[in-house]
Amino acid sequence: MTREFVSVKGLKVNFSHSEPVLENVFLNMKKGEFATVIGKSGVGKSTLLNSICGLCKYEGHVRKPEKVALVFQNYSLYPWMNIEQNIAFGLQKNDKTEIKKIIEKIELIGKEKFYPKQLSGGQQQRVAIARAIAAKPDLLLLDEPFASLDSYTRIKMQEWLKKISNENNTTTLLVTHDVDEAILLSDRVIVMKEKTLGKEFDIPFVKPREDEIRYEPFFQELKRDIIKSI
Amino acid sequence: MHKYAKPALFLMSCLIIWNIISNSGIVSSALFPSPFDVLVAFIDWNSSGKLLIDVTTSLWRLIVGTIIGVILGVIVGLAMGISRTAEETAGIFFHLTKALPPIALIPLIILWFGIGDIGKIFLVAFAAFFPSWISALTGAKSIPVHYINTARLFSKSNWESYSKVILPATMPFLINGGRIAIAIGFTMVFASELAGASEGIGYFIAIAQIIYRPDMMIAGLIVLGLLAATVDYFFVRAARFAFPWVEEI
Repeated sequence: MTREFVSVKGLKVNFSHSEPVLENVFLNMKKGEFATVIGKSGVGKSTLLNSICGLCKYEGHVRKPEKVALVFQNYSLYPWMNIEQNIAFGLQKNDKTEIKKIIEKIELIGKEKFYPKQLSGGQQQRVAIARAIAAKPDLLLLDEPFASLDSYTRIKMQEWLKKISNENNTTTLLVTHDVDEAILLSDRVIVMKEKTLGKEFDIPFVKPREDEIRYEPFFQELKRDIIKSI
Repeated sequence: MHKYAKPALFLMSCLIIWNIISNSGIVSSALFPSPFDVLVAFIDWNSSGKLLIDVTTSLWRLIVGTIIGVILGVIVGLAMGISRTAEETAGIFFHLTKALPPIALIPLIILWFGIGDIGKIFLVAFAAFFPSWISALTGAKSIPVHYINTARLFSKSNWESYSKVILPATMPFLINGGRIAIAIGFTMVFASELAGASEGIGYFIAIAQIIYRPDMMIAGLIVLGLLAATVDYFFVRAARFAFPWVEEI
């Protein structure tokens, strides 16, 4: 299968007239692929996602499917909507059965009428991701979705995302600076460095992956290689 | 101790001190009547049947004027907060008008509309407009960009973006603006009734001054204060009920 479902060619983003934020970015993704862009803070990872989904101006060529969803680092749930209403916002029509199914899937039964402020960080992010998936996007963009969570919740959320991702097989581009997370979840890890995408690592572990693979020597070796190239 | 015990105790102490000062001869009791004299004035006001008329008249002017002022303020504020063209076109006019003390309009408004309800409602609406306008404008400009971006990504129509995202996102600002509008509205009701009226709490106090009755004046001020606090209390309760997600009320 060719990597042409998402295609970014010669992308350049320049917010002011000074230094560009992104330059000469090329990226291809195939349908159903889970790719991760990893890099230090401030290298332009979020800008790449914003460019792909059309939230910022860019030069170059971006080809993407019609339905794209983006999950932000800071949840971006609407505080005035309860959980049900937040999820319904992602749907084309207010389908109660569908909403119930989604709430079941994110294990928040009984909390349908709760407002975001009444949920923990992990629960809020589950709702945000569920809302994005509820829209049945062809491409799901995740911008450091677990960055503000504690390490225990983060691992639980990674487990949950792995499960959801395997079930839906949605083409997903994740941005993170957590190397473990990148290897656990992705088919491919791409390092972002100096305003552009650089070295790529294919992740050979068979899906669905167990969390225990973190302790395998090959995982550690791969992690070391990725860190070295960041 | 019950949560109301401390404020009740404080209030009682104030009344006792007030009573002591009034009866001590340090100040003339004709100028500084005792709480008992004020209570008598209040009972007389009530038994004459005018208390209810004065209170409902002032309240009616306040509510109608504030609602008109707040609605217009929110519409103009949101429009200017969302549209740069609207702000560039009309901003200067509203910023200049904002500097005008509403009380300064009273002579002109009496000349135009007389001392009836219309002029007073206009003055209250004028005064209530600006805090609502500024709150809505600030609120619209402070909406986190990812709220708008989320709506865009879900391909929401303009109407859905305004009604489901922009308006609720500015709600904490609008509620605070509403509270300030009510407080300023009260000032304007009172000031406009002092300047010329035939009913209302301000009118009652103005008459009390003419007939040299400080006990009546203080009774009027206490009723005015209680009314303002009650309106604010119910506004806050209603806002908390209607918008339970707003934390800063």
